[in-house]
Amino acid sequence: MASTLSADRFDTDVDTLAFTRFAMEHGWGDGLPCVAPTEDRVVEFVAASGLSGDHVIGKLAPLRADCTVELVAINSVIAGAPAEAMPLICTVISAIAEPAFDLAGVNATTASVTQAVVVNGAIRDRIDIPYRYSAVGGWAGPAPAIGRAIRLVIRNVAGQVSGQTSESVFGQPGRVTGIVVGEWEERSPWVPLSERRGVSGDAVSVFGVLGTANVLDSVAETGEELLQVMGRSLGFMGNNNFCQASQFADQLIAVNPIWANEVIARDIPSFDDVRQIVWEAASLRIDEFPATLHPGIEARGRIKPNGRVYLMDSPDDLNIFVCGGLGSLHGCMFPGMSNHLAVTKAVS
Amino acid sequence: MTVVLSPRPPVTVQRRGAGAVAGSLKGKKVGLRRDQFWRSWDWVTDEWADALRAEGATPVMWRAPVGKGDKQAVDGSGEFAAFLDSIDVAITGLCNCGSCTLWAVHDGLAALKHDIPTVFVSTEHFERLARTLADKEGFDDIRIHLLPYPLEGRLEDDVRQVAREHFDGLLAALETVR
Repeated sequence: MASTLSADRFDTDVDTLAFTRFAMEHGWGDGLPCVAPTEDRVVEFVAASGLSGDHVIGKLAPLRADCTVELVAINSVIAGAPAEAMPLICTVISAIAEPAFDLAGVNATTASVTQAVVVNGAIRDRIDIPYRYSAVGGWAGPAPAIGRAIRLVIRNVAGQVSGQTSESVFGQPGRVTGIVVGEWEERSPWVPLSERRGVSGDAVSVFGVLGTANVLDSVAETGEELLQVMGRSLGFMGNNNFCQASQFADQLIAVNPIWANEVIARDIPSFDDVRQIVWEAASLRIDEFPATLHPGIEARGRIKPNGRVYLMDSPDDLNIFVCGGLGSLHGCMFPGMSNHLAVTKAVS
Repeated sequence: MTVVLSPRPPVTVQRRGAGAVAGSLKGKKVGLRRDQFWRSWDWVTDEWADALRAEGATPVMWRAPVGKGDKQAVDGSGEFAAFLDSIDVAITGLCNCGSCTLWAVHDGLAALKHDIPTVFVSTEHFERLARTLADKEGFDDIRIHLLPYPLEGRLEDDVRQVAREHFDGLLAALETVR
């Protein structure tokens, strides 16, 4: 079985410290400890994917290399991800290879963009994707290793290397472990995110995000107020999609279950109305922008008759999901990458 | 010792150098690839279009669409293919950020693959990225003409003056015969 693998082979010490040193010397590592991708381990991961090792999932920019299931398996072993996450990881790789995701721009940019994966469906519990306390980062589970597997594929197969093919000025922690979070569907008053995006059941929605930022409102009495605070926070002037060369971008926000059910849905029953309020709040008057930005924004046709510039092309570009602990008080926003669209796919 | 597997795809890139030289520009159509990012690049290519006419060439402008995603069908690949079919020499730019460098190089490499003599225009800081991206596809010695960095943020008159001062260097990079 091992002979069906086609990757280049190296003889080395597979002790974790020794192999991590070896991986770093070969440019495979990210600075964290690495698990040696022995043939037996890789065979197990390929089998767990349900696909053949030579199956090409997609071409990944900037190298435009064929990303096979075998390469995903090798990087997933190195990352310490669980084998049962292989179908999810392969689906994420397939999603980022879609033209809408614009992986080429995402990987080369000076911005800090990384992949944020929102998981829906029963698979959340099967592989322990966090969606309750500290769902976006901090919960002890496999999510960081799964995110790291995706990031190692970006590094080793797509060829994103800081200072060489990536000009990211600051980067961000999510460029090492990714961002992998589930939706707390059972505590959401709304249809699950992936279903709203056209895919029901087990699914991943992958976003290019500039990071995460907390949004605090500890005294709000109405859903309208919370949504205004979320929208005005997301529509900050330095959001990548207010760039003079931007035309569109998906944006993502997470709402905690208490806000979602006991404040927002109580006051605003229609999800479309919820999204409309945030969309409108995430806008600025054109005269609030520095004059140097005006020509580009105007050339893109983004100044509306009321003199406002909206962060998102339409409310459809606003993606809201429910997760987080029951302590309420906070929302989370994930500002999106300009000229980039999220992709949702079923995990099979 | 134990066998481990490489997480990288095998490298099978063929070395392809810099591509053809431009020779004389008289009577040729010279394509200038613009983008949506940089006002400075519009001013530079405006100046170079005038200078190219003075050399007896016909400048042909093409502006790459915003992004390559599928919203509003902005792919632009058919338009780009028609642009490549219509020109004899290509000037692609501006390599002046991460993603814009990637797409300027991407489109320049497409021109080279059509055997069109091509020069890549980059600001100084982004030369390394442009060369790295081209090298990954086998073009290990592309013709690059460098503009000062930062270029954006200068006044329009200053940028146009820079363009005029750099025109001879641009032609030298293309190995033109005057």
